[in-house]
Amino acid sequence: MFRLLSRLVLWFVGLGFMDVSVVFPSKNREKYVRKAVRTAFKARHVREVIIVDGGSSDNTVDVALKEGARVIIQSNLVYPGKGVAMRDGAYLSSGDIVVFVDIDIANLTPQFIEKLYTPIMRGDAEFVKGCFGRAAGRVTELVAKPLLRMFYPELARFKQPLSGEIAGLRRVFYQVEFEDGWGVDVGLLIDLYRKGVKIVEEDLGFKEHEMKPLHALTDMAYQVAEAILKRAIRDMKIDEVWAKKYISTINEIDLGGAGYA
Amino acid sequence: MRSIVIGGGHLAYFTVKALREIDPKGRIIIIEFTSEKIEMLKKTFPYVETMLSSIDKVEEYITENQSLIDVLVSATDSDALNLRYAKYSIKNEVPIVIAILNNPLNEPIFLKENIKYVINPYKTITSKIKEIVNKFRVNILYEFSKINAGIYALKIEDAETLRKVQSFILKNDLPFFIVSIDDKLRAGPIENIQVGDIVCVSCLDKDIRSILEKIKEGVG
Repeated sequence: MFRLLSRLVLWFVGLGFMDVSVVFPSKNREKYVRKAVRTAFKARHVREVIIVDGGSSDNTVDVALKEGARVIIQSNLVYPGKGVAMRDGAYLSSGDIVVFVDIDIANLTPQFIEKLYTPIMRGDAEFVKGCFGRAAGRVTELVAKPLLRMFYPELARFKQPLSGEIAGLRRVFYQVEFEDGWGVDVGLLIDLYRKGVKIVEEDLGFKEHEMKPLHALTDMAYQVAEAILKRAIRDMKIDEVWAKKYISTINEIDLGGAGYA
Repeated sequence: MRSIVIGGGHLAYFTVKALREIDPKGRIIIIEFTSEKIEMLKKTFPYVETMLSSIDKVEEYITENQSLIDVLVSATDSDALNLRYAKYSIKNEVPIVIAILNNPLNEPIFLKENIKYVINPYKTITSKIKEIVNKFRVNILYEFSKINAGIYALKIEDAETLRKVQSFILKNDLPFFIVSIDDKLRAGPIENIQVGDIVCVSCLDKDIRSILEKIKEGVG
């Protein structure tokens, strides 16, 4: 009874007082930025929309500013710099909750954003990982899930551990370090889990999204594997000397493609 | 002088060295977010005070110590944080607030937020390349932060430009020196300037813009 009552109180407090910042990492996404910013502002409790730009050569930044978004250019223009962009977004945001969403979701709706933060407002979670109706991606199935099952079996229950659609209390993002590149999502998941942050996975329905070509996934797969293995070493789940040697060997293998997106 | 440096990485290293040189007896406090860096900073700069803080506690510290801070330099490796802390410090009337950029593309965003002192460490790349390759009409050699003036290099491409630059220097009574086509340094008088030379003048930036317009008119 007490638990139910306290959750009810938290839910009301959350709905009444928690502000939301929505962060879109982006680069050359002029085509999507207007709709993304407008949609985000339509979601309830959204106080600000932040575009973290990766050095666009099109009008992404101008359009974002015109639509009332706050804009910052990624602190470091590395490629891939998804993690740098997410970190900048989290650091610039002022809402109690920060929501990260890919900018190129064709069927993005305000409800999509609301669904992501609702478990936090309800007091059910401090960090939410979005998942979708479609099958998980190739890197998820072939790299992330097997490695998570090996080293972090507690996280193997997540359908899409690499999903870029996440929400969290702003303060939880300040407790961990962000990987620079594609390893950021799985890195956050492991590190927040390790900190004891309450995590839930929320089904967001169907996501209409551009798929990366196969050749672009080599780098991504490598960085995801590296992020997991690095943490497994840190958490003493594998022998450090062996693992460091093994990881550096992977780095030297010619993966046979010009494979950069 | 009491200075606060936020961030303990690459940018902070040079910031602390400069602050120490300016005031060897001054207090320098570095605010950092990771204990590993704090330990390293203590060894590198035994004369500084260090403070381990969480990201959200920095603003609180600024509010509490606002009257004691003379200079605040936000030099973290995130421009988002530098923007946030610089804005907050200005709002709290810290006398001198300096933000150091990681990405020069953020300069207009910082200036728009009324952060007066923005250091772009990459600025010299353009002027140095222009100087070395020697393909420019005007090159900014140095810009002063507190006044809208600088030292500019003007290339004398033709007789018409020569005439206009000479009259510009005479009219405004500007200090200048000449770098000849074979990279030799020459002083005045003004008649010494020749086509092919680079003339380095110190003047207000509005004046340099006006002479540039005049040179452009000639080209057009």
